[in-house]
Amino acid sequence: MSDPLVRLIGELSRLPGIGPKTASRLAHYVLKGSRSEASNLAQAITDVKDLLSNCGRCNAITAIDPCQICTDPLRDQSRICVVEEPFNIGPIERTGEHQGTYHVLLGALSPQRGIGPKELAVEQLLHRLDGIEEVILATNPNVEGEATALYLARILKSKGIEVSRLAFGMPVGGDIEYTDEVTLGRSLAGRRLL
Amino acid sequence: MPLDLALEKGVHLIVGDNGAGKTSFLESVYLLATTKSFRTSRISDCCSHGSKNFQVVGEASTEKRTRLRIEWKEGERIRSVNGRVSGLGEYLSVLPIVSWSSGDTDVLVGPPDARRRFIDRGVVGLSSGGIGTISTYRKTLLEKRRLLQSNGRGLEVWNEMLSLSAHNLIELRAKYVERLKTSLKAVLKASDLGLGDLQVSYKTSLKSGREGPSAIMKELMGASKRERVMQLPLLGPHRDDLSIRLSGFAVRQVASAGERKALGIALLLAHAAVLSEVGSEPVYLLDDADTELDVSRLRSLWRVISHRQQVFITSNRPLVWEGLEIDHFWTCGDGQLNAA
Repeated sequence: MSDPLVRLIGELSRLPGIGPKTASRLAHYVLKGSRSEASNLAQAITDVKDLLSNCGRCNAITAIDPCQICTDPLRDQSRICVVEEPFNIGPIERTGEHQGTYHVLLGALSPQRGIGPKELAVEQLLHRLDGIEEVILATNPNVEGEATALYLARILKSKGIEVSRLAFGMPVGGDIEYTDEVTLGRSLAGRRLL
Repeated sequence: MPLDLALEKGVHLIVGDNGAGKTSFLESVYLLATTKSFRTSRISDCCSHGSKNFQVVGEASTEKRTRLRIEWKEGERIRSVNGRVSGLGEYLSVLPIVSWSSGDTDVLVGPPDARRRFIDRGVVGLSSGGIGTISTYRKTLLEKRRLLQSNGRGLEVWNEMLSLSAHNLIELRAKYVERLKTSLKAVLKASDLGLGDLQVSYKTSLKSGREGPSAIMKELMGASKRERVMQLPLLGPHRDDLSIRLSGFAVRQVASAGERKALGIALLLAHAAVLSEVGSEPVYLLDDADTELDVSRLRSLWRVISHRQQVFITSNRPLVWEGLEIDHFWTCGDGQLNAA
């Protein structure tokens, strides 16, 4: 193989979820395509780095700082939804259920990966609490996300802020018979009055 | 060398000399059912000499027919159910299996981690959320251990996380051990193995183990000073044990090799009975079942095992099985099984 191809495969295989085989397939696909397709791809990649950055207020990915959500007068500025990564905002936005703003922590607590509170955008969140009535903790329901939610809940509650956590439970279309006890237990614990 | 077999219901006796491949056959069935080996923790060790890959494919006929496939290829374990890559929980639920081989004596006389693994196999079999509970506890424990090894700051959050998953795990383990005790009594009565008074109990390292997450949290925080000094999590289900005592004494103090073997198989049968109560009856794998057992105990064991749905027994002493009604008799040699 010629060097540029090896280099492209090498670069692609550094991406998450891309192994050497997939990287090779993608590289050959690029090689087969037209020059303009390759240029568009290369331009799109460099544009992402040149034109986008993290919002100085909430850390979402944005072309203008502060981001559109932070400056939207129609959004409820008294409610912040806290997520781990910028890409967690999209799915929540698509539900149309959250009218407030966001705060991206840029990770979750994990001593194993050397991530403590100082490595996360926690201080930045604490500086945003003026006029905040509720913080919704939407970190992932895994060990790291749960620990981060617990950590934040302790601090925020001590400051008199109402803290809520995304509900856990059975998926829509699920069946009680095939739901494991932990999920079912969480569904019961998080049940709501009708 | 590829091996293709149709294995009927009933008791299968596989005889062959040492090194003929009897244990490898049982191991392949175990691999198919559990994706793991009972002989080694490194799955790459299951490849035949000179090979880097292996695959075991099988069809389990329970209420329906389900195709299982476990493959080790280019350093990756791939499991599929009916041709579709599956989650571990779904895979394990297809073909419940229990096995006993020489290394399992550790459950009786070895270090506590062998007994914890034994209990946790029961937890996984008993509860569909068992795997998730064990995995969450282990992950949380690893994070706490790492924290203690670094600066130890923020321990409270990790203790709170640990208290929740420890509570879930302790409850599941306690539930399983209670059922195991009941089953063990029934097995001992039915088999007449002559083992005397056998007591099994679950010992939690947390005094507050059964009192709920808040009590566990309090106890964990009480140990935090010592934990910071030792840089190790000192309390929790990872330090629990299953106490197995024969007439009031530790098994290693009083049981002969034959008694240990009989006791081990009795425990396995009790474990299998618990699995049968909550799901389908497991397949039994007994490696070198007759070694260390005298004729009378072998007959006692036979009384219990011979009625099970599907049992695979290996032995290098075909004569000791004479007079017993074996459904399927196989000879093993050169990597092949031949019906005799």
